[in-house]
Amino acid sequence: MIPQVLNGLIFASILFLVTAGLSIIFGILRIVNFAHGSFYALGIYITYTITRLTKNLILHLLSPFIAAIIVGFVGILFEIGLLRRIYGRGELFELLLTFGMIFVFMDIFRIGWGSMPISDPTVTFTLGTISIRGLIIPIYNIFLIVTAAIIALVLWFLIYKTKAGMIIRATSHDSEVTSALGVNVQRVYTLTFFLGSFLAGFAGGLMLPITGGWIGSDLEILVLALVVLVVGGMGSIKGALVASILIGITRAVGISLFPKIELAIIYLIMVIVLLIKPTGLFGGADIERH
Amino acid sequence: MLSRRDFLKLVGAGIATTVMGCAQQQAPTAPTPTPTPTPKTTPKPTKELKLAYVAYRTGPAAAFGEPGHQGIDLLVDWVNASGGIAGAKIKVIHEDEGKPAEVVEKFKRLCLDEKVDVIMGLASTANSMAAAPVAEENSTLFLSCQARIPYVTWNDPKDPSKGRMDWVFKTNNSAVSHAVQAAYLLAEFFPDAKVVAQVHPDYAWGYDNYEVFTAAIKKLKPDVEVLEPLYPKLFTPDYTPYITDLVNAKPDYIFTSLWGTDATRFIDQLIPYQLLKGAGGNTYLCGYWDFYIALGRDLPLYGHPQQGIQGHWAELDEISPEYERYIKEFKQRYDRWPQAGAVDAVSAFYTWKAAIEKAYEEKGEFPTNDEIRDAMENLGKVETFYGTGIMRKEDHRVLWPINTGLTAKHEWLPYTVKPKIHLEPSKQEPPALTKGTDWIATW
Repeated sequence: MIPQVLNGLIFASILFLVTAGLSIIFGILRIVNFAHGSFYALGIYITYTITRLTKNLILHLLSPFIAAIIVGFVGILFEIGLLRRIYGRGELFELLLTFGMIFVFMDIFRIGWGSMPISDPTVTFTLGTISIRGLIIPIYNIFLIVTAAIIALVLWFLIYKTKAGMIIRATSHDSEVTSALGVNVQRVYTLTFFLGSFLAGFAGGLMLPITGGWIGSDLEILVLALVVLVVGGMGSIKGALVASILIGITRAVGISLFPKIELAIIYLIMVIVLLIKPTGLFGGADIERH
Repeated sequence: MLSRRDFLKLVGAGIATTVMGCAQQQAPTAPTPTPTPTPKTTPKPTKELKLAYVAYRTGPAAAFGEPGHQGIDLLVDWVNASGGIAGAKIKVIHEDEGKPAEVVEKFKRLCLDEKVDVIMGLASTANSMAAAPVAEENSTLFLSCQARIPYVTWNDPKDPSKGRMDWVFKTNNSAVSHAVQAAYLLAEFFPDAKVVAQVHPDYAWGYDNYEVFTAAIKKLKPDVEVLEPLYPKLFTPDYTPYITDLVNAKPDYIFTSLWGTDATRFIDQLIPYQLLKGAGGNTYLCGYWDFYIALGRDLPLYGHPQQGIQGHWAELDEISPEYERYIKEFKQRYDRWPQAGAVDAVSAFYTWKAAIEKAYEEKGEFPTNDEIRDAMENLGKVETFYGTGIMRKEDHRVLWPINTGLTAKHEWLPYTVKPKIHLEPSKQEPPALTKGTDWIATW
């Protein structure tokens, strides 16, 4: 059972990073960014481009971070260049724009990296494995889980213990009052989008050695992230964390115990949670409520 | 503020639009406008043959489908450069695959609007089953050459007594052949193996492989313990939960029918766990190493069993000069080795070419598609640059001798298979219109 829990944590780490980004953007901008999965896939593709350039282990380990910064800036461009023009025009515009971007990104991936799937497990092979009480664990898997945990801590610190976080939370609570207090809300929106896109890109980069990337990985992760978002409670980072762990571990253990209903389990959890608590585990849309 | 209900509506709408969007992306495009009639003063145009190739070009299955498209382009370029087939140049229409309903629509359009002479390809079992009757209804040749579904030419996949279709042919080897090969490999090369695990994708192809392999190994090596199969969903990104089960079971032999990117991901994720021979363990993996190298990998583990795909370059003792040219031009043009899909495309293309040439020779002028169909089922032999297949008229299948064995290094190819066992069709494919398991029961 312990190995399956560890496997579940890998899946949970990635789900958390992606959903945290989605959740932050929703919490502040009140937008469900359907293009979020595309930022995840972009993270995979950019990381791949970096790892193909070098065999240096350190650079391979850093490449998701570098890719995530690039993806973050792409997110800024998206927010400033497109999204900003439709704020306040209603959800339909936001849905169409963010949704349409999925297909724009798909074509970008096709033109830039081709339609064949990509993968590069060099770093997993180079790092090798460790054996704990006869249990063999790839070191990269531990690296991935620890990195995601560090990001979760940094995120918590950033949002709850810094002035920037306070402004973010205030904007999330009431952007008009925050604006009246002299805060540049547009800048908060842009920074939020950077942060959200960064997290998606980072998650994608971390997954390159394990799953690789393909046109369509964007939609797959998006649907899962939406499930986590709903289960955890819209806009709640803590909810995203708990729901990711719940879904990640249940899936891994479920594969061992009930292999036939692997995918159904995830949706079953969603249905049960929503029946018992319709707002999700940590429901309420305000980012500061936790 | 967006309420939860509003959000759920949005999500619902979004997901629905996703599905529709994907469908639309794959939806049939408007039919090509009819060309303006050629003025009577110009010379009579040479006949043009329309070949439609349908296989995945996007998504995880593109690793299998796209090489098929590329292989066809290369072969058509060769043939067109040397004057075409019986003087007719070939025009290729490429189509992405998609889901069964989409493929059915594409087949209808190709048959009725494009009026193609032949359709080849299809990598998915479900798509092949859905689309084959469309070709049959419209009297259009369909050469199933990528999916390894043994009963695609049958009128009723569940009841072979209802006979075969007239316009559907199958030119590559089948799931039965692959699973039987895996059993022969185990019996031949690993006589000491005690425990066997299986990992197959969770759909018809995976189930066929499990049933046939299990039946065959019980005949060939009854003392082996066959574990419950693992059935990951098709295109699962993360195999680690399944790998953990394998690591716990420590089998001597793993037979997997995972293909395309699934095969690559599974192998990539499995290697670090020190289970496989050559990577810290003692287990042999019988699978498609071909897909692994197709995505630009060096083969990390030699001595692992590779199932035979008809005429695959890794299985042959000698590569003919024309085959060498195909492999090298393919590599140069597309920057990757021609893997299973590209080898499958050859089987369909040469079968079709041979049928047209035979019908042309018999008639003395360019044959109709009915005549090409008749010639095809009476071909007898199908000659390609990688060997000779036998056309079995009873069920419209081309059968191939297979070499299958253990992976080894090669001087210019990514790997070869040595030592290997040679299996004639009668050893690895069931008789016409016979279920694989029924045939194995008679062993």
